[in-house]
Amino acid sequence: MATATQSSTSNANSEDANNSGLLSATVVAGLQNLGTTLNAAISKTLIANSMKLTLHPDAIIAPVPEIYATNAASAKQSEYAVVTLYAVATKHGWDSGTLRQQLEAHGLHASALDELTRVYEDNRKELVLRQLQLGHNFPHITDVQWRIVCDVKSSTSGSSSGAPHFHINLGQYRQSSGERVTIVEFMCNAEELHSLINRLKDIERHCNQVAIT
Amino acid sequence: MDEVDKIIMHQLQQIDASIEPTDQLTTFTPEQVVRAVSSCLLEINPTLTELPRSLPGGAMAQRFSAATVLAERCKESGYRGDIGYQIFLYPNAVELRRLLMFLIERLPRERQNADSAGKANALNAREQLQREVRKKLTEQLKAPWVPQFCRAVANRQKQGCSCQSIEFKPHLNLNIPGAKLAERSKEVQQYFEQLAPNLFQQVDASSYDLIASVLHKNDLERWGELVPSAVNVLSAREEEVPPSPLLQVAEKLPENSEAPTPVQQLGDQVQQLRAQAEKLLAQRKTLNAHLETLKAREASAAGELENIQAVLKLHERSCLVLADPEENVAKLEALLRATEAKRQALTQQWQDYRSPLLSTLDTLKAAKDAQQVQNVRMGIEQLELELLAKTQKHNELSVRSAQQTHQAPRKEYTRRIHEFIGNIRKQRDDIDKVLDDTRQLQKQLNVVAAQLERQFNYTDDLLFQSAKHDLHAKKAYKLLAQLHAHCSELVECVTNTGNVSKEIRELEVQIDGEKLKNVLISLQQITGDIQKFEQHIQELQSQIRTVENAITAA
Repeated sequence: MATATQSSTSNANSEDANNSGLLSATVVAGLQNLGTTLNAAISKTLIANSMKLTLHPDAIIAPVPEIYATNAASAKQSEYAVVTLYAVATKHGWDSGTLRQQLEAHGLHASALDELTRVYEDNRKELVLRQLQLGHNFPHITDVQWRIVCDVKSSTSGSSSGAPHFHINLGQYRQSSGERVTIVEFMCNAEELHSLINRLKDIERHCNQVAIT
Repeated sequence: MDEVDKIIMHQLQQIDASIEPTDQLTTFTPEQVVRAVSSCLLEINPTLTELPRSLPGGAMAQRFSAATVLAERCKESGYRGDIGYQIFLYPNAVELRRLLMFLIERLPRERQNADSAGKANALNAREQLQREVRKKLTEQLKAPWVPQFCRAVANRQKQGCSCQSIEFKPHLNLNIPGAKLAERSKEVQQYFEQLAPNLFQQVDASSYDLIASVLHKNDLERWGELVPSAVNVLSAREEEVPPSPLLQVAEKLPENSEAPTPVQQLGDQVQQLRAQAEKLLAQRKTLNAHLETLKAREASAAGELENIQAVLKLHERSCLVLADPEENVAKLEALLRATEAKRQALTQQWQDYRSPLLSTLDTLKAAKDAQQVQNVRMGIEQLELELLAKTQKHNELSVRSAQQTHQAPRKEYTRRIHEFIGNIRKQRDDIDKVLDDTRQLQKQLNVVAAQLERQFNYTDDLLFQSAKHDLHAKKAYKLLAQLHAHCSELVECVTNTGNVSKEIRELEVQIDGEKLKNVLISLQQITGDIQKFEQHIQELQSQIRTVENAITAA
């Protein structure tokens, strides 16, 4: 994905004509609010706050109530606009020059324009890293919990066979919160467990074989 | 042993072309031995580094250390036999053969098969990928285990598996104030000002990803007209504010004020109208049926009219003809004649056209046949040529295959091995026979010895009894004792002789073995090397002395 971003950077200038339509009307309206409907100080706080929340989605960041003190609707629109602008810019691999060009076409307030470009320039690397993590993939298993279960009595029968079962839970810890997530949970008897372990060993053996030969 | 040497040479040639082929291992020089063994070791384990590939030319000590390293590597790869520097520096054929056979057996099999094919082709992309995979896997297998939370740190990140990815899960229904301020009603505006959660709260509350949601909404707004309405409804729904109930009530009010007339009247009117409508419907049905019958009648009348008109025309014509019969007959005859003449002219014309076309058709058919014949002939000729070429090739190949069978030593080897096995079996049978004979002899000997023992005991008792009384008997008893002692001495001597001859034979075998190792030459080489060492030491001592002198002088 990193390579794709780089290559699109080189194409960015040639695609100027196409890029002009990358932002929706709501986004443009929200950007135009900055420095006009919302004053310069609030605009600056809003941009900084949006950037922080974009980069650290799971972190606990203190709310900034003064943004919504006046013109809350415009502020909400502008927040969305700023986040979208940075997301689109990162997605298309714009550098700060291209970003400025794009924004100039929409007639933004000069101070807002400078602030947007500066913040983008400062955080560009982090934004790229953040978007690199975005996607679909299979979960990685990093933790196993188990328990040996044996029925003693149940509603349908007074006595049990006494055969023990293994209750196995494969999961992972969430990177951000450290909370445990269950990916698979299953029961098996000793024979099935042996079979599973042998399969896993087989994988390891093949892995070793590939690595050595 | 020549065959074994040949096989070893063949294998060594395949591994390393720089090894010069010789007929026998006895003629191998130390340099060649080092080259061959190091090549084999590298082939078995390509990761070995610092393996000496050749013997250093100059100092003895370096040669010695190189040979020692190689010997250790051989031991590490599992060689059980006696091995040391001497096998490289003073090679003897028997031990060298054993070592090389061991190494060749350890060579990886796939390599042996794919050897010739692999060298010719350059590495293709797939092989390169496999190598990359192998390298990565080896790296990962060697890397120590690290807790999950540390995996995103430093160089572990580039090995993948950082478990850090974020699912692309957009919030499909973000609620953001739209672009056009004028379209927003007062209530909606108020809602956005006070109650609506901001973007981050909306995304955070439902564990969606912020960037994914934002990108999704942006694209949806840009391409809103093109997206099917079913999809669009999802996003648009939030912005629609339900119509206020007050308005609905206001709309309903005037309707209610128009309906104060008595229900009875209206009911009557409705009843009347319904009855009228039913009546009219029934009337319409009967009229429709009538119309249908009239239409059918009209159609039948029209058909009859047509028939009558046709008959009328015929009648008119016949009336005209019958009015003046002779003249009309003459006219008809003239017409007949003219038609006949016309027909003849037309047939003539047809013939004129037809004959040349028929002739051309014939010629073309003939030409086509000729061409077909020609083609078939050409085909036959070609096939003949091909057949000739094929037979020639077949001959060549058969000659080559004959040569190949001559060259291929494998059959020969297997035949010889079978012979050897047969010989060994025969020898074993012979040995078994000899062993049986020996056992038989031993048994007989034992029987005889036991008999003798019993005889002696009996005689001994007898003579002892009589010796008490008789003087002759006493002498006889003494003589018997002497005889017995001598005999046992004799038997001992015979067994000793047997043992000695056995030892002699063993020693002879050992001597033969030692002779094979040509110790004399090795000894000479070793003494030569020792002399070199001494010389070297003396040189070093003289150098030390000069240095010491220089130091004292200074």
